[in-house]
Amino acid sequence: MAAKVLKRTNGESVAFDIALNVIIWILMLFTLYPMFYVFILSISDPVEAAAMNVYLWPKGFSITSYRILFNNPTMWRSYGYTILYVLSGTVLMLITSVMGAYPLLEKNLFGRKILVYYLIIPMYFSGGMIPSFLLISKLGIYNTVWAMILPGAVGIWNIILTRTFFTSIPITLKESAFIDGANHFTILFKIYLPLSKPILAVISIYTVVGIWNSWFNAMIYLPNVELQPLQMYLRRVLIEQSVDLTKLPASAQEEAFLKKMSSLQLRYSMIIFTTLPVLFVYPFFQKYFIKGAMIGSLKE
Amino acid sequence: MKKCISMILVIVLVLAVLTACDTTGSGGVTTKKPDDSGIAAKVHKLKVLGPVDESLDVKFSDREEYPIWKKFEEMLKTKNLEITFETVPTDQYSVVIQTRLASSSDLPDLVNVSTVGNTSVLALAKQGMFLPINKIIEKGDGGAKRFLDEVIPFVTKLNTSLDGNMYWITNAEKITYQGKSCSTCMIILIRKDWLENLGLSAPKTADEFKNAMKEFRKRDANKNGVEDEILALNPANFNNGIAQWFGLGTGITSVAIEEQKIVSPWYQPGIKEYFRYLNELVNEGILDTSLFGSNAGDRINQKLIENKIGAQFSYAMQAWLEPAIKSDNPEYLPIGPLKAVDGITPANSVETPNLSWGTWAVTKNCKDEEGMAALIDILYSEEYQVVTCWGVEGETFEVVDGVNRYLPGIGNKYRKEMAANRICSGQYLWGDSVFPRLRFAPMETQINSSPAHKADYQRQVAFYKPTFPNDNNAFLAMPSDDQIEEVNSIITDLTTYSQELATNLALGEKSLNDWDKYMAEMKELGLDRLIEINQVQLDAYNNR
Repeated sequence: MAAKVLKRTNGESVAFDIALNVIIWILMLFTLYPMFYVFILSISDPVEAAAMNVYLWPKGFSITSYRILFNNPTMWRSYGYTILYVLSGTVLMLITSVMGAYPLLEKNLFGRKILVYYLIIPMYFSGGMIPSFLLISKLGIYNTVWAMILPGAVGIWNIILTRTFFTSIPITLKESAFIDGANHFTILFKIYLPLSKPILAVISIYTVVGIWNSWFNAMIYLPNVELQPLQMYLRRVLIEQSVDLTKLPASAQEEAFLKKMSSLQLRYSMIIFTTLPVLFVYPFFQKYFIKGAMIGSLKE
Repeated sequence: MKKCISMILVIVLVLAVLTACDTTGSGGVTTKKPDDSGIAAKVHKLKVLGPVDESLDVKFSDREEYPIWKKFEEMLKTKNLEITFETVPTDQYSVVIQTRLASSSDLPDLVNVSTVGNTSVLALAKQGMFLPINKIIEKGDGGAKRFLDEVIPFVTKLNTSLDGNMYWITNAEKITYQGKSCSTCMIILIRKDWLENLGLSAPKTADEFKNAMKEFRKRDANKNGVEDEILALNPANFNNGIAQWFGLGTGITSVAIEEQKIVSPWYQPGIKEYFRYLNELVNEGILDTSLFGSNAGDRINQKLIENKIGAQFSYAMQAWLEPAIKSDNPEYLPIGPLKAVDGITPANSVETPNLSWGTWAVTKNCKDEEGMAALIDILYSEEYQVVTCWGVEGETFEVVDGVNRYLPGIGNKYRKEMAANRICSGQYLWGDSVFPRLRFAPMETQINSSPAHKADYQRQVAFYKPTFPNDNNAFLAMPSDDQIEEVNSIITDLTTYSQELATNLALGEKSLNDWDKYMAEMKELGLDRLIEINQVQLDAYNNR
């Protein structure tokens, strides 16, 4: 009798569903709670936030740190440059992925096999930081916006991903387009691209999130504060909190201590502020994301 | 169409090759138009790279608006120096400078390499990356050489490598009291307002201190209804004030300044009593074990804000802790060194009066050594010391009874005012960032501006003995390559073992009965060898 109750009419186990739900709820809690914690710290009373007395609900209410952020021109400038890098980086990535993937569809392309190996090898091995630095430096783009845009403009993995998606589009479409007099550019822009929305959405969202969160390139190639992205600004605010005061001489301790104490709550507001755009963008891409992420399982 | 594309590709490839050509070339000498005497003056163009913190109120980028910068520029003009500055934010400077040095590209003439570490700088110098300062200053007017020999000889003693060359210049600080070298001390501070509120007198022994802390807890000194008043202290490190009450040094090895000997707390007589005392504090709840560990800084700050720290270890005349406390008129009183064990004289942990820190090196890209010598002649001069430390007389400081004193609105506490008025001394604008700073400060200045109870304390302990420095490096000559290698092979494991053992002994999780076993382990990890190496360095420093 109990066994019958625990089985639905279609044979699925209710106990299994309950267990699965419990696990998922726990995982969700672990995933969401840190974000929630940062949020309630950012809107609590500054003294309670500094004393870390906030656990489940905000204590007091204060948006002072958000006001400080909103009135900070450095933050808005960083925001602006981050949007520039994200937009230009994403557009370039899409262009290079598509332009790189389409020729690889052609089975009769001269040297295709060698070209594929030539693309795959740098995916696993790179020259390292110093050769990259030398390259950026010799190109004359060190300490310019191009140092943020150009290095990430080509993604070999995205070229392969796009090519794999293109192979799922029936070849007959291409052949009939040729017969009708279309050239490769027409086929690419009028047939392949309109059908490639899922993969373009996947590449876009990966690129947007990647560039939005990136700071390492800025740290190496972009010492000019005026051009730095938001994550560098956030990193700077967080670094100010992590100074070991005991390692400083007396003449430097006071200043370091005051800096540490003055922006304790600011970092939480900054984290929320820098995360919001990505949180807003994700739902718009979701319908493409699921289909596009299953790219390996699609067959003609 | 195909031919067009091929042509475009060829042009792009050629352009790409051309952009790879090296066009660097820094520094140089140009010639100004002849002046009235008809002699063409050499203009020395130098490039300087350093970190700046633009989050501060006084910003390097605003330097042109400060009169003190104009004064400094005049000093540079007297030597026909034109400096181009490249600045990088402090938080990313370490990465930028290491990358630039590793790639040897885009190097300036003078660079701040403080974040690289002296050992690495020395290794790079031996590879030819940096030029010897002692050879460069010989091309100057002799001012820097005289200054180094006569005024700050400790800089040369500490920073000359075994090959006889000095590869960097540093900040320099000399603290005096009544005309004599005097150390700033780090000591245990106890809540003066709590003592007064509870009718307790300042403790004079370690036992009285323990009792005072117990009273704080029992009688709820912070009036929050909870027994949460604590001593903030990390027993993993010996530089904590209380270890010194037991006559112990401040590190795994420590310079006993008066004896000019290297000692280790693990071998000193008061060590077991020290751990017994700490264990008593832990058992009474006075030592908060949640504040143990290397990353406890934030937690300590939280306790401070919450008005729970009854005592902690800091500089005797500090003034930055009290404003952070959420309480009415909190005050810390420096105490000690307190007697803890009969037969053992308590010691003080001190910051050496002659400090040399930070590193600025001349890179191999510097082609104008005469110009660099002229710059160093300025940077190591009495005039520069006054400009960086004090500013301009009448604007930022005055001389009272032969002692320099900052004018109102000048000092660490007045950064906002200094930025608003665009008046400050050079150390706030460029000191310890793009250029080193010199500070010859009579302690009377700080004593006179401190609250009476801190000032009185500092006067009492100004020449107290015995002392241990909070940083051995102020007394040790530069090690040889072999010594560096040997120390590197010893220090990590030894430090970890020492810290873990100290913490466990304080917590009572390890017994003092197994002392011989612990000492055998220390010896095996190389404690004796470390003491020997440090002693050799100390002797070398004293013989210079």
